[in-house]
Amino acid sequence: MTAMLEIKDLKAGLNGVEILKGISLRLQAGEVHAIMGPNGSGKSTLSKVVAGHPDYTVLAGEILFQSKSLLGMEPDQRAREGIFMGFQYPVEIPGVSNSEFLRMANNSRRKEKGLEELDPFDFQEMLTAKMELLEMDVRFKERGVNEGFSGGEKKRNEILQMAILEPSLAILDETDSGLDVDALKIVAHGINALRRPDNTILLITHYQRLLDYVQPDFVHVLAAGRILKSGDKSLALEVESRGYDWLLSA
Amino acid sequence: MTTLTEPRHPSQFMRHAKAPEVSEGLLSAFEAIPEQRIPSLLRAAAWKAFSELGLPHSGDEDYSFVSAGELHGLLSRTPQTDSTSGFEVEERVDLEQFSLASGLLPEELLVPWKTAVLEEHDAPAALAVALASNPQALSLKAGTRIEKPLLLTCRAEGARSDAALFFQLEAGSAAKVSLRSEISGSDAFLNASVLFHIGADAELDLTQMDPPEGLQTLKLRFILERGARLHLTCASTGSRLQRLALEVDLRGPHAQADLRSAVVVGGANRCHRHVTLRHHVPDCASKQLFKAVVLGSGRSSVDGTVVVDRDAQHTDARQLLQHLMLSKEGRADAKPRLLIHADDVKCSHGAAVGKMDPEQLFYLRSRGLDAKSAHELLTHAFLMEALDTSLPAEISGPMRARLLGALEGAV
Repeated sequence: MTAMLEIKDLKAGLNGVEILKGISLRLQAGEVHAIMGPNGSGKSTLSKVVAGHPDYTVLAGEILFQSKSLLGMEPDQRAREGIFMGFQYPVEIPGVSNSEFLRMANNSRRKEKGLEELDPFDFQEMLTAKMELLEMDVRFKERGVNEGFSGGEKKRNEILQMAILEPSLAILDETDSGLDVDALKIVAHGINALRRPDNTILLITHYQRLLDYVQPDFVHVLAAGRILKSGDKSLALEVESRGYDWLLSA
Repeated sequence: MTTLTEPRHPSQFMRHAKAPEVSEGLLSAFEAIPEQRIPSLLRAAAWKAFSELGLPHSGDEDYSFVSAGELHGLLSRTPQTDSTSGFEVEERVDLEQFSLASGLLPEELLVPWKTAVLEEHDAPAALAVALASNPQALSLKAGTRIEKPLLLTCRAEGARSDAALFFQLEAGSAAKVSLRSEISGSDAFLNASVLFHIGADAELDLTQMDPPEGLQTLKLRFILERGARLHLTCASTGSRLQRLALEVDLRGPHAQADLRSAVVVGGANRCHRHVTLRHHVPDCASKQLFKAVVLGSGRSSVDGTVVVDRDAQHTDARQLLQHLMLSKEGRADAKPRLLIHADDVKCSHGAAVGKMDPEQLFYLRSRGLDAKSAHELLTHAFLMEALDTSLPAEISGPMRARLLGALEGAV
């Protein structure tokens, strides 16, 4: 069976410093994976490398998305192929309306799939429905992208984008950070609603609490640029109770 | 209606008050303007102001980013005294128009205009009033409103044209005004000055667009009385030389000024903004948002000063000057300044000259927008933030089209 994402002995870095020191992962359609790890372990680097951030350099290894190599592929092409990255710190873009941005993004994805662009009325209808799912105020449609949004609103906006783009692979980088319990439940509800047998979700998180609401099939612990241990949901609980030190010293 | 009838030809005065560097040709041209009672009073005041200022020269702080030598040359050109250049004003009910060539101007218009001219700090503006072939004055009566934008067009052709206009908005009136310059020929030079006196609780919504060619020095001065409101939106794509000088005086409590400017300069075009905004009295608010995109070898500058006088407590003044550099050959200068003499105020200012934010770019690309679309979207967004979204479509449409046209193919 073709993997949704296959990472083979990936080494990557930033500004000449190697951060990922040989990572291998295999994610199948229909699965939810979680990557946990302490600060500075390389979690965000991994998500940015897969998404194609230009500042990061792949030093060795391979990243295959549905058997297609991502190395050398521009970030926008990766997105159109079906990869979505939810940002830990979503960027504010004043002057670009959230609605217009989402419509352009949606159309670029539809074009890639060989589908016709949605007309503005159909798009607005879809957008409103998705916003209701995430309990977002419809006034956010016309505001600048993430402009003046609270931390929770920004994270909800990330999940809204995921809902609009319907990616095959969603990498959510610390989507739970900065969220209060109520906001976390809403975001988790949104993520669960988007789980399908034909897509894959990779959650990157510091803490176990997101995993109380989004049940992962697999949990990986990343530290010092390497996957130290992989397991099922129980690994997250073990990390929660014992911390990371026992894995680092093992 | 009362009019001033004091006969006076200012030539004697002018000879005595001649600024040392003023050419004989300029002075002769000035003296050749036919004697008329009212225009001569105004011209004499303007010449007096100019004589004290002199022509722009290198080392003058007000012209830090402009070639003072070039301005000196332009302002020394022999003025045309024909009547083909100057302001054209749409006729409107409730709007009184006075052409000074007719020799008549009500005292209630002449006095504030002359007073403002005597305190003029901008040498080109003083010259514009002194040499304008047909100065005009407009008066909007108290409590009346102009909803459909009033078009003011300043036309110029030939080596040099000077134009001057005074627009008085009486108490409680409101007007939407669109000011444009049309200059025929890339070497044609227009030097113009417009004074707006915005009465108590009156409101002016002004849009101004620089011409796409020619050379221009334009001064817009605004005097705001109690509770008056000014919304100014300027747009420019530059040319061989565009210099816009803005002077705003908040003279009545609770007056508000909102100044916005959107500029795209490419090729070898230049666009310069010079702003002096003064809070004279308490409880006034001002906002300034100046944005410019620099392409090719374009050059943009914004030199903006906010002065808060000692008595102007509870002032709220904000100023933001931003340049987006999309080329290595272009140049941008920003000089924000706050001079605060009161102690209970809220003031902020900032200036940035930078490239496109790579994180914003990556964010858009990570959602599937190709590099070109992402660049365009970010550039448009940067610029359009400076355009007031409440502008009527017939005004905002051409502004947007001009700005986006200048960006086309360059982003």
